[in-house]
Amino acid sequence: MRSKLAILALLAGLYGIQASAETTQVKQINGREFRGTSAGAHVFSPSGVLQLFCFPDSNNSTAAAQLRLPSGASLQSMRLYAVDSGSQDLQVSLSKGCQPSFAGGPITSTSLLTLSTSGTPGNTTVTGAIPLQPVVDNEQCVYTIIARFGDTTTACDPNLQLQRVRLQWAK
Amino acid sequence: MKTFGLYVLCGFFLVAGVRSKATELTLDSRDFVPTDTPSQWAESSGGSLICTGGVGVFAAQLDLPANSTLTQIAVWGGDSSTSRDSSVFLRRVCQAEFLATSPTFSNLAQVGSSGSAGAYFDSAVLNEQAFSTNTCTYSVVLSFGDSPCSTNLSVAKVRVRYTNDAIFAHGFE
Repeated sequence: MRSKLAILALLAGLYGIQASAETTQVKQINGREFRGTSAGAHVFSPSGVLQLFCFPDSNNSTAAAQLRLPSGASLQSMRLYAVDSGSQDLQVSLSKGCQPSFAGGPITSTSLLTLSTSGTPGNTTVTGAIPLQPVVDNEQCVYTIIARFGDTTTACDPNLQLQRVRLQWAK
Repeated sequence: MKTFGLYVLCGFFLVAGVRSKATELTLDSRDFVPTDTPSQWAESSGGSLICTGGVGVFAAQLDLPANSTLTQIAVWGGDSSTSRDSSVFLRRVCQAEFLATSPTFSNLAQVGSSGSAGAYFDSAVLNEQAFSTNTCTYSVVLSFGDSPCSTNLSVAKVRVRYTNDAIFAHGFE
């Protein structure tokens, strides 16, 4: 009887350790999940791997995807995977837009981290730590990643491709 | 001592079994986005996705928790085309986690319509251990026939079933 109780206590402890420990997790967003931010943004997925690039005739070089994470998650780092074979660079920015929980009000936008490719390396990956590891507040804020396929918001460099964005978070 | 070990082993698998949860993700027709700008689309009166021009390929990423095992894909839609069928792929795209490499893709399962009987359902069983969500993403890709797409094909929803092995979620693998 005592050994059975010991086993039960052991299992309960094991379960408790798992349930209470903060764990690091990863959220990945394919390039194709990003949508042009206006009707003039002409975006295209060139192959089966669902990476995204921008048509040369596009008059808007930005595309956005919402980052959906559980409330209470702390944002640790962001990594960009891309192809840069162009004279311009691909930029990816994570920001949050917040409003009062139960009242109308302006959106207060805060930039959390911006990453950019550089040079013409072809396949490339760039990473950065998110300062202060902000905690996700889904009651007041929406978290958005905006990709810009060029040095301005109006002209596309078709030699830039967004493969995916990786967010590391913990809860 | 052997009995003690047996109890521990049984208890471990009992807990693992209880915590392995079968569940599903359902992608609504409105979750899909065209994979290229020239594609045109519309919504049926019931809310199904209809391609009205262009290449006719649409995609949506699955938001899977880590340590999932994909077990089934199913599609509901309409097919009144005598010459064209719709195809639905469960696609895995993988890339090294911390290196600059080209991604690769595999179609893990395919379902779709055939004939022209109108409303259709199709499903396929699979056993894909999606334990590599740090390096791979999983998406559903719809194709409404060859370009230009057929307007007589539609997709209402796609459901993906999976189990989640929570006991391995905290480094016990």
